[in-house]
Amino acid sequence: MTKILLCFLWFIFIPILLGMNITHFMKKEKNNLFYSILIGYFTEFAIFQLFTIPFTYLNKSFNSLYNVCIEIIFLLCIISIIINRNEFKNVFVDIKNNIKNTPKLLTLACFIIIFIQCFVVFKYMHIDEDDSNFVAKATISLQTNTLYVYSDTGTVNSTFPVRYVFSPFPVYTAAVAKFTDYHPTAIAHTAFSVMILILIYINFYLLGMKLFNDNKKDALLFLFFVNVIYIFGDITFHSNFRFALVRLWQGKAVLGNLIIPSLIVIYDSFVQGDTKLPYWICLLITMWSACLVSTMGLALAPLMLGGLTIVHCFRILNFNRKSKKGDFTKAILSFVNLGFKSLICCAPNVLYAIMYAIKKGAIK
Amino acid sequence: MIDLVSKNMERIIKLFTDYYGNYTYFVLFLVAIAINYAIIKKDEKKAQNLVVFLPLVLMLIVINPFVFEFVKPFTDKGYVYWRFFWILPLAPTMAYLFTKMVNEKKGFFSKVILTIFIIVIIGFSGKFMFTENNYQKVNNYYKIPDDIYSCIASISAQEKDNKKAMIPISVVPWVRQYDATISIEYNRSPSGNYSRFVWDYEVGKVNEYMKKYLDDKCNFFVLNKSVQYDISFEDYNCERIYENDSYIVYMLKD
Repeated sequence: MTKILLCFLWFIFIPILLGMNITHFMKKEKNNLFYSILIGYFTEFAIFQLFTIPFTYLNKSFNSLYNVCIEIIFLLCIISIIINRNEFKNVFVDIKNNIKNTPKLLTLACFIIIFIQCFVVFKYMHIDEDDSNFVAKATISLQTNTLYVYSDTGTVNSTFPVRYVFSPFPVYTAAVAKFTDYHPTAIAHTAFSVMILILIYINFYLLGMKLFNDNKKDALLFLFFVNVIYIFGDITFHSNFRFALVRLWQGKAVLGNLIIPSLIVIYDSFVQGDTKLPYWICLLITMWSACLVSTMGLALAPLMLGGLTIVHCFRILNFNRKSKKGDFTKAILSFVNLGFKSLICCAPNVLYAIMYAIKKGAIK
Repeated sequence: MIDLVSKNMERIIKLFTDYYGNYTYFVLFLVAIAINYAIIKKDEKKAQNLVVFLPLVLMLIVINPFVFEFVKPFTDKGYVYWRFFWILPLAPTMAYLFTKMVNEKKGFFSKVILTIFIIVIIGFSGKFMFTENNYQKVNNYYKIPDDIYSCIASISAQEKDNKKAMIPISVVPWVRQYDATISIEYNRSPSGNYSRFVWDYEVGKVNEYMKKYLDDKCNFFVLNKSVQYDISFEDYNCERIYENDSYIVYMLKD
């Protein structure tokens, strides 16, 4: 029972509190639990990414890393409770109103289709031998209280495992296992595959709300079709849909299905929120969290952000092309502002990429 | 320069084909972009940005020989460049079109019929995920194949210092997922490029390597039940500690 409560605490309450630290300062996203939980998870990812690399270099133990990260997360949760103390009531009122105003049939259809997927990934096993690396590293960290000291066979690593240290998602898995007192393999294969799948669909719902101007009916229909596309997405061995439904506990699957698509949602909020600080922080945290899950995140997240920035910048310029001179100058300024702030958000990815390249010997 | 571009484009197209299979999902995606462009009203700038221009810009980024060349050193010489295709927003672009199409219909039943029709189209374009090939039933919450799980658990249960096991290839991925205190004699090779002793172990040739295993301090041996081994492990001071339908586990006596 305690374990299940700890799971609820880690997988639901803590991310919401962490996310509310930032959404508290947002206009539209305030009291939006879906947005908060998404940002909360990314905050956790970013915290672990920030500390795991230096701790590994300094040869610190897993427990010391865990203690530092958990203390920071708890501290942020306490801050969130304090600053949001008057908001919780509004959150519950919002939930009540949302349930009242939600189209019942479409909600039920989406609930059923998501529930079936969650049930399958919870109940059944998918054999993927890459787990000997990704999941075993979590078990090794937890059971030996070390960070990347031991190889997959059990000997001490003779060389520094650069690729894995720069995207330490298994260490996050180990930390969740330690917190909830479940085995890392069970957490990865069972809890992550369900929880992250739900997060993926939460993100698509938020995207639907953005695409259809907060029309819940359309957003739910959109979500329903996304679900169908995923369910029939076993097109090849490499498709991101397949990664989402068969091996979501591996960081690269989280990158391709959660973090990259969520950049669209978070970037849109960033633009709509006039690139103000809380929105900017959200984007920065998301970019940072992309580094934790996979070394591919060092490249893919900046590429996605680049694509989004190009599209929005050209839209700004194009929209203002025929406007008055003053408006055009304003457009150029917002173009520069958007471009500059987006570039700053790529800083963690670029820094880690440079460090990675140096360690790999690609840059001398 | 032209050589480089054409060579890289060839690689990208090959990876693209590997990624999209028969291309039906990708064709649906392209069709969705085109129709989205046609149907989105000019004042719906956000939708136009996200489901028309963004996919086009991202396609220009990933299907790009120069980007490929730049990231080649970091993608196993381009071998894993297919992961770059993950940034193409297939699902939202297609789902946006389908939602718009259903919304265009008037009346509940025509909406339902169109939705079913779209599901059928998606179904025929893709492949159903929840098949026996992808998911198997299992009776432990670690989601490790049951017969392998019980073998590893039997080793785990032994009170012995410095446990090290020689195991068949089929068991390799699982041991240290469950118990990191058990070392293994060799690591999994994703390409199947194993040393000779590993392949010989698979067919029961152990005699030649038994000294190596003991010198390497192996104290557990997992045997495949369907294989005829060329030695008796009892002769090497080993005792049988566990057996199921697929495997036998021997432990070296102290």
